[in-house]
Amino acid sequence: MKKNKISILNILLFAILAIYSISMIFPMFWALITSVKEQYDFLDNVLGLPVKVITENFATVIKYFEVPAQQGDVQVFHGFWQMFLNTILYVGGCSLTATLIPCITAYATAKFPQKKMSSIIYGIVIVTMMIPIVGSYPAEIDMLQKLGLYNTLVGTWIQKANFLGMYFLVFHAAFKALAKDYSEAAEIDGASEFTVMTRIMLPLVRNAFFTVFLVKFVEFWNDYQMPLLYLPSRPTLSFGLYYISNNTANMISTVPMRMAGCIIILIPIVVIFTIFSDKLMGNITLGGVKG
Amino acid sequence: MKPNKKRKKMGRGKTIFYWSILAFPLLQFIIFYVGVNLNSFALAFQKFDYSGNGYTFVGFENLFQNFLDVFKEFQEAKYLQTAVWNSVLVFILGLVIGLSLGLLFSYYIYKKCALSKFYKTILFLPYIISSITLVIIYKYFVEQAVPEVVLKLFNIEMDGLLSNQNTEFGAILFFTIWTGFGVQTLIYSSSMSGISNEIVEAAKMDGITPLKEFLFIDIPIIAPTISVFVVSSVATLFVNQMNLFNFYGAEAPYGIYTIGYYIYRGVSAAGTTLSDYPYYAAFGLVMTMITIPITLIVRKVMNKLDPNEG
Amino acid sequence: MKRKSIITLAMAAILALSSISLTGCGNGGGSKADATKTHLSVLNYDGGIGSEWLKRVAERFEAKYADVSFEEGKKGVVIDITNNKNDGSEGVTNTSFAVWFSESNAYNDLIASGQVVEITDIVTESLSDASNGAETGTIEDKLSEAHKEAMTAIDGKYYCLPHYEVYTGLVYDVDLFDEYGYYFSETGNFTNVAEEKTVGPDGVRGTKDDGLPSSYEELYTLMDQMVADGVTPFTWVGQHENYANDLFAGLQAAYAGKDELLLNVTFDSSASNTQATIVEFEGNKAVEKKVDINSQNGYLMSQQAAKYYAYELFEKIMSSDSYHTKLDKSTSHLDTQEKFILSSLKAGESPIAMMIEGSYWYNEATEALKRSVNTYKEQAEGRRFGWMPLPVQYSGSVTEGNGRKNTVLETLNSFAFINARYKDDEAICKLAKLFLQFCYTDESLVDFSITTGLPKGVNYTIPEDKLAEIDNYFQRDLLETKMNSDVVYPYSAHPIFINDQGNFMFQQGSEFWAATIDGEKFANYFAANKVGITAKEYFVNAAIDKKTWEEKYGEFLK
Repeated sequence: MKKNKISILNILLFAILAIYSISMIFPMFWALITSVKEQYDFLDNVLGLPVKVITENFATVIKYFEVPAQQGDVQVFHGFWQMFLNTILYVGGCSLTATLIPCITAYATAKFPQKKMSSIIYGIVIVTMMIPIVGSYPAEIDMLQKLGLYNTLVGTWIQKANFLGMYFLVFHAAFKALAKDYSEAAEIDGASEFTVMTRIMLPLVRNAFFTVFLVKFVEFWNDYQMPLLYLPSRPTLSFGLYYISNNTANMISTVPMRMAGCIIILIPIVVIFTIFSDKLMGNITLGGVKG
Repeated sequence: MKPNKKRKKMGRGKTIFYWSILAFPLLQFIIFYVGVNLNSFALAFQKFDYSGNGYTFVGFENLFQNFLDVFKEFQEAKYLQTAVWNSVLVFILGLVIGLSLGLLFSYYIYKKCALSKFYKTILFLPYIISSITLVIIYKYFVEQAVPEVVLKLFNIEMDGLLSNQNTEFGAILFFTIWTGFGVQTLIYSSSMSGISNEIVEAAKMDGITPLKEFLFIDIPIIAPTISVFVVSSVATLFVNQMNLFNFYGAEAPYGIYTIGYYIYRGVSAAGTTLSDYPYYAAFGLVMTMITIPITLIVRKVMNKLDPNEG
Repeated sequence: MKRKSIITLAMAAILALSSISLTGCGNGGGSKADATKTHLSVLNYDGGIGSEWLKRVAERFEAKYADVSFEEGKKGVVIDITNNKNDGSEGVTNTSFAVWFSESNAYNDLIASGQVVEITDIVTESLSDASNGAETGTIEDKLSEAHKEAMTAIDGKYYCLPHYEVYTGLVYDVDLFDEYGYYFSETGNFTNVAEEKTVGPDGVRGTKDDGLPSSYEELYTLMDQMVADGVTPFTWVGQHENYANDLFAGLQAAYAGKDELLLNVTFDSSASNTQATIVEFEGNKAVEKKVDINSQNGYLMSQQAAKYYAYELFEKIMSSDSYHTKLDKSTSHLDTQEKFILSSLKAGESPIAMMIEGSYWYNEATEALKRSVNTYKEQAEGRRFGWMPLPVQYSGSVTEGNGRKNTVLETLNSFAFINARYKDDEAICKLAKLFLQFCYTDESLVDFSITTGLPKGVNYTIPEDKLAEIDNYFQRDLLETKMNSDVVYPYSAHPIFINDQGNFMFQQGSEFWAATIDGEKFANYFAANKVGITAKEYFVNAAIDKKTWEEKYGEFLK
């Protein structure tokens, strides 16, 4: 991309984005300075700089960052690192299935629009987005138990392996835009459908794939309710934070302590994001063929 | 989904491929969506009997009893009408402000203007920071910081923006839009970067301004992606809670309810009993029935507008 | 295909990690898994009561049954405790916890949907075995009439037992009241001399409530005196509006008294006195009127005088910023408690006299109290906070022998029950019942209270010497309040209540508190007051009319 000439539009956007950045950095900064405040300091002075910088909040949070996990009939306690591992397994697996399934479903339906099922699936996606679901947790837990998947990692991965939601539409639009040019060329070469999909089509949408994966990753990382309900044997970090700031240990329920907790679980995800956003985001080749 | 295409017979290999790809997703859907939620659709035609029979069919003479209750509530409770309006407002402002700013931001990032990498990360931040944290911080900010600043600068005493009935809704709506750019920008800017250089360069030769380029070249090309977002936000018109649960738990004031919050609160607040579920199940279905035609119309319109489609 | 290999790699890594962790931390680490004993999994809803009480009772239980076999090849019992905020609304039977001690439970739902095991046998049989011969009575003997009636309403059998109980109302700083002498004297002035104090709301001399406001008029006078002294009368949580309701509920209970308060849920279904005092307006003047309540006119309870006076007090509180601390939506309950504690310690701060809270607040504030002692040393040690008795009449002052026993309202819906998943597992079911029963022996009840500082929802007496083991004034005061008050459990066997419990709860959002004015609905008077609605307007518009009542509950009106 060549350097653009500086235009009014760009200057204006630069300014708005600068304001936006300040509005976002300020809360982060506030959380950070609050996390090194003593409680009294905080009560007296919610917004100002700390009178005295302390690090005990972090030490206390990590010390108490321990959550009971129900494994079969026995109870064990998971500390920070175990929860970190749980989180990676839960979040990694779920994001993968929650990205892959919409992707390949979208591929099949976009590639073969003449099949009735393709229109049906598209319709299902649209309609299910509109329906608020009433009281389905117990039913879902029952179902998982019947299938022997309740409280297992594989179970949560399968549970998330649905093609519903907006990202199906994103993939569908992407594959549709790719038209048939690429794949038909390959088919003439005698490649099988499966090879065409894995070797040619999926790599073409890899950026969309990784973008969606990243979005899902963040979503699952922050989700504390699902692990609580479906995976009590493997508490995740978000659940851990929710648990310790809500339960007994009033010691860690002050705002400075909670901010310390927030920052502790924020750091890994920001690091992951910064590393991967640069590597993975870039051109989703939606208009690729036309170019 | 172009109906005019002649339905070609697919080869056997393709058919096998098609079904083998779709087998798992469909099975998963049947088990974890249909299987799990069938019950909640059936609820709309049931009532709870405390004498030991559990949920029972309302009977044919009362078939639509739960639905009639919904309509009655709509007629009587003004706050529900307000909630519809609020939901629509969230949608429209989200679209007008959220989408246009989102697109402009994406354009800025796509053009790799100054600090664009940094901005890209910042725009995604609200998505990374858990909403609990963001809401706590925002509350302190608008409740304590804003009044303090106003007092110092203008010497005017004012309530926090959330404590004041008149600014409450606006403050939350702002929060919702302000923190909602992340995913959009990520995807729009990615889509834009797929726009081929030749088109843009050719246009520049003709002396096109950046604004015109944005409006008449970039936007039309990524129209399919925009259309996905618009259709999705129409579809979730009555599911959107506008962060109300994060802000208030079950205690949001009636005047700022959205329909999405009303349903969510109704089925998850303490004090909800089994006898309340059928009403909310019926309520959900009514809202779905209203959303379906709207969404289909919007999709049609979007497709018409999409230049790639013509 | 570099990208694809990343996916493959990621998948491989996840699978590898999962296999490591599956073998790494499966059944081993840290649990007290003892295969030679029968395990009983117990859930403890830990909203601030801790699990110490459960550990203690578990130890005694394990010791008692150390040599008993419940399963073939095993001897003895191990109680596994899980602390988890689970109210059972996502299902009880889909969890593995056998015995539940929970809160905010819709007990009728649990029973009617078959989630819990019938326990009539242990409720009605003698506690003699469980108490090693110390008791001859049954658990049923310890239940209040309201509980007995309501708990068995569906099919005449017992399924749940009341766990702990919580009241809402006012916490007051006893030290501050003493320091300023905020006690009414017989002459209508304030005094600090015990003999000069009025008899207080209970009308009995020599009790803790002597000199405290016995009427609304006295409470208003007290508020004004406080403001004149630079004391802030009230504080409460700004973040959650339902804290304002806490005061309404407490005031309503005290003013109405037990029999009348129960009519809000039982109408005429219970044998108690059915007379209620309602308010009608003549112009702006509120006129009290006595009516007999029955199912047909149950809607009249929405016009209870006890409610109106509560709104009126709140209107007064909100009329001036000097009556209350600054309220904003960012201050949490913990911060509010801490500010309340600190207000009389910090120089230059206006001391706060009373805080609207739930009676469990002390358990939540433990760390805040510790911090205050760390910073303010002796000045903050041994502070006395009390659970405040509230007015029982509107004007004047209660005279000796003409007061009423303090009335408090339970609002937490906290229950203990057994998971129906184990109803066919003889060994576990038997063990669970034994354990549950064991928890309701006098010894266990008393031990619960002195460990947690909270009352259980049954009748029992805590001996003086045991009470003295509690190291703080507030919890001793609360437990004495429990023993010396009429506790109202707002449950009922009436079909209207059973079929529409959500609307009859003393909680935010229920029809008890909501009013619609010019089409705008308000969840409580606090919300309405903010837009300038008067107590009278609110009260009048909160009325439920006959037509609505009949439309809604016609099928249940005989």
